[in-house]
Amino acid sequence: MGRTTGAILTGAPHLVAVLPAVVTTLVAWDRLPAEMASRFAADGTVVDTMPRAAMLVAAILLGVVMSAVFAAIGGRSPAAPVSSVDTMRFFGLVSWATAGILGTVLLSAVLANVDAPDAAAAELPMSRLLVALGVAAVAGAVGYLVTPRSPVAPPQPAAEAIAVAPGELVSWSGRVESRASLALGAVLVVAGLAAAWPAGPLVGALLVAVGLAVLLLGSSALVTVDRRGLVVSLGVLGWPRLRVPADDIASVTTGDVSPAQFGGWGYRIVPGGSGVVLRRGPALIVTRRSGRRFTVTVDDARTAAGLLVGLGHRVS
Amino acid sequence: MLFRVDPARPVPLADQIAACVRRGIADGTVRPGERLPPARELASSLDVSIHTVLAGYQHLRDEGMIELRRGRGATVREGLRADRAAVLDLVHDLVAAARRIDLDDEELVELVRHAASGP
Repeated sequence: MGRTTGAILTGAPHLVAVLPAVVTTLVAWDRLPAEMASRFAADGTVVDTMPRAAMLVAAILLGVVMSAVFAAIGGRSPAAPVSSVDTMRFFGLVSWATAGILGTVLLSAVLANVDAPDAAAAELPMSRLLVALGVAAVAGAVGYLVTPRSPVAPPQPAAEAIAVAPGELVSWSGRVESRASLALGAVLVVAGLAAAWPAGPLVGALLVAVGLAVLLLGSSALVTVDRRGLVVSLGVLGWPRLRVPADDIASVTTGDVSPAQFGGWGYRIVPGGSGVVLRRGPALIVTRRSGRRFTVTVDDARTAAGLLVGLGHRVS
Repeated sequence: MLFRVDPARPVPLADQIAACVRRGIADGTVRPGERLPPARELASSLDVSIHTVLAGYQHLRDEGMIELRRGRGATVREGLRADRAAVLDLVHDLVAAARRIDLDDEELVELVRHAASGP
């Protein structure tokens, strides 16, 4: 199963999902009001409207963008397992389930407009959301089943313990930096400042705040291994911190991982695991006593792993 | 980078911390421009006093290996050559070896000067 197939399997559902809405809009063009109802309140009445053509373009764009995002997650090369659960199949499930919701909601919205004299006459009962959830559940199950098992990289030789003498004080630390986060943060801040004029100060301030958060928290991390276990201090401030106490560590490995396994960059939580993933490549992977794994991408992860193993053997 | 120190050894802890950095630079695990762990973090990680770590970092600054700046912490000097760190490491080993045999510091310096002026 190649990378292309993987990318298609997780990316295509959204393109397929918007098709019914798009086709219906085109076929029933003359039976739709020029100004279509686009948002509905909980009681089914219309909240907001949109021109027919804009509605069509929005549906197509949604499909394309969501497809691209999920395709990027799907197409990936062999990597070390970062969770007891196959995260690739999990994202297959998420992709198909969200596609199911998207497709059902879009189609229901278009159908609600067909033959309506004007937008205000359209009605979309809340029960359609239940239908969408049902479709999502079925699609998610199918997505999980059709997604092939992740290609697993050949296991790295187990980390060789670094012998730690009784009474010896040890500390390993490594810093990992993310240029992608720096660039993204900077772009968001600039975009926020630029958007403040046309889109209003609230949107601008929000973008700037998110941009600053990405810059401060996501641009770097300090990884420390010592007698206490593993600590990852996020960002320039070194806070917040993620800890795995020494007595909670069942085993330690290293391996090459990819942000796609976590569905993106940053502090990520996936079923069966979590991680601080600021780049692709070498990572330290610890398995907790509960079986959950914690992954952090960092250079010289083998030394870090060796020290954790050595500290575990030490009689103190 | 890996710090390992042992309070049971006769060498002061600050010197042991400095030696870890020197060796790291010498063997290439620590690169020019790289930031050393903040003194406070390293102190709590090793379970030593922050003054011990700062004393170790100051040794390294005095040797021209790192720069200490308020707010930016300790960074390995840009353009520092790994072999310079290796030579400095040898110097410290030499001094330690001389002290073990109770060789006078003046005598050691004289011996080094003599060796350096030789062919």
